[in-house]
Amino acid sequence: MTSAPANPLASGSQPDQTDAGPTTERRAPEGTGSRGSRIVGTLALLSLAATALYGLVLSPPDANQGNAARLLYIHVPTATVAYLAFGVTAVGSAMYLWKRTEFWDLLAGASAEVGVVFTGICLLTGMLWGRPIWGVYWVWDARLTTTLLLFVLFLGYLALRRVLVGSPSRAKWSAVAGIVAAIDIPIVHYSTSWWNTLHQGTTISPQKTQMGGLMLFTLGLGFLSFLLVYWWLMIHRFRLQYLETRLDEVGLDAAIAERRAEAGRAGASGPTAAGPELAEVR
Amino acid sequence: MLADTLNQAGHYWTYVGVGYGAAFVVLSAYSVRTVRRGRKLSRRLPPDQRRWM
Amino acid sequence: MFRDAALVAGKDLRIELRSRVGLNQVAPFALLVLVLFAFALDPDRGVLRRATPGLFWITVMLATLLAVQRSFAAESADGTRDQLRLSGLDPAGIFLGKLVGIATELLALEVLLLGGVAILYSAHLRELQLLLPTCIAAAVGLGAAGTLYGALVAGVRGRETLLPLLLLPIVAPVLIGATSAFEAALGGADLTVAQGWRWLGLLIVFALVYVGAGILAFGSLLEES
Repeated sequence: MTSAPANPLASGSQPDQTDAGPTTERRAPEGTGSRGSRIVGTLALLSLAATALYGLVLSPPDANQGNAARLLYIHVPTATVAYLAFGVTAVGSAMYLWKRTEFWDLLAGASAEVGVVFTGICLLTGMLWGRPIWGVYWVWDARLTTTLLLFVLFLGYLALRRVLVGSPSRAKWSAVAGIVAAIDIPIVHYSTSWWNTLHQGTTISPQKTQMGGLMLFTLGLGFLSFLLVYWWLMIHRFRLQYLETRLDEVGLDAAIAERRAEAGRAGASGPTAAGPELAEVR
Repeated sequence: MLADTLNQAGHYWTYVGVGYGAAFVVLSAYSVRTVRRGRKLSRRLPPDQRRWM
Repeated sequence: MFRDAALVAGKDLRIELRSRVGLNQVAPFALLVLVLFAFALDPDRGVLRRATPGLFWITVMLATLLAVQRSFAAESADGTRDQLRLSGLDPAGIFLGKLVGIATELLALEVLLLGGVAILYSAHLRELQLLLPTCIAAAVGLGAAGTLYGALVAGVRGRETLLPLLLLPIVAPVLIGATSAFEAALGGADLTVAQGWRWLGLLIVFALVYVGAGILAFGSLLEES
């Protein structure tokens, strides 16, 4: 039914020939793709290609940093998106606790996973940039340290969600964890920059990279690309989260039905403690 | 040795290459994985339960 | 709220006094960590002395994990947690009560460890007026964050490994702040005592933020889904 996609980024399985009309097709899609997602995906891909072209070929090497500056076209935008994703998770968590609608929980969970990917790429490109510039892969400056901590916080949040799979309170508890982590980030940033000013030693603080004309344009392309990629990934990841939640529910319902059946059988042979427990479950 | 030549002052192409390459690989791999998971899971559900909207 | 807090705190502290787990297990563990650091780092006292603030607070953080696990393990046993919820106690009060229990234990531990570093690392304890408030503020901050996350992972299978992953990154500012304050107080690093007081300020802010967060969030944590 699905033809092999030309490239993974612009995929979505929507054969135009289905037995029913377009409405059924839109409500019964297989997979998380859609016309909207394919549009965004194509734009993202084009934009990424342009960024790579400008970043690797058309833009000049930096006067001080040489070609290493090209890594910044990835490093800086992914950093921004990483923090944006974290913000979305935080807002989603807060809104969930307020409104208690599933949408916010799905948003928070999806953004966390996408965010962790961007944070990882940001850290990696940062390290690869740092090695030629500072001579070391890592320095403990405020921005890098906070981003590293952001990465770990994301991982913890995702681990919590994974451990709580199937639990009816998962959304609520993840939301609390999300907010607690969010209020920590400003404190971490503040304390690490303070801490950093005290322990400068011989580390070169990351100099403000001067970016002129074409380099600035390429950086802008980078921002556009990674924002589009984030948007595309969020569409898919959000829908995936929805699917997973539906499946968890199915599992939960099946388990409850099983308990009831058990209790039914046990009840036939005498009063048990299964009765009052069942009343609590729903 | 090639790396040394490439990395001589100002060139650093190895770092740039690894960086761009890794970013591309990670994003592609994650995208593929997410889309595949989406397809797999949506097959297990009846059509009316597959989308949020 | 405060009356409920006092009830819960009293309960926890009484459990602690009777079982003496803090005394018999957590304290020796903390002292052991101090010893292990001495083995790991050059016994040349120069290194240890310079690193004393950091080692002190890492030890406290590891001990916090134990204290939090312990505090909530006492709840899961015998279904105390459900009883707590059904008892009608104000959730914020429960939070504060647990917080006081954990913070008290941590504070006692910190005092013990001050003695430990004075002896084992030959640390000269000066500026107690900075050291002690730092200990208190840190204990409250660690206790608040610990209580929040402890409740979050209580009853979850695999919580022993999840709690450190969740809690430790969150309390990184406490580590930074308390260590810096200690460095200022104990001297030896390029920190003036005045700067030490600023770090104490950060610790107080952290503690307030997390106590506030706990008071607000504990209600939804405890309620039945």
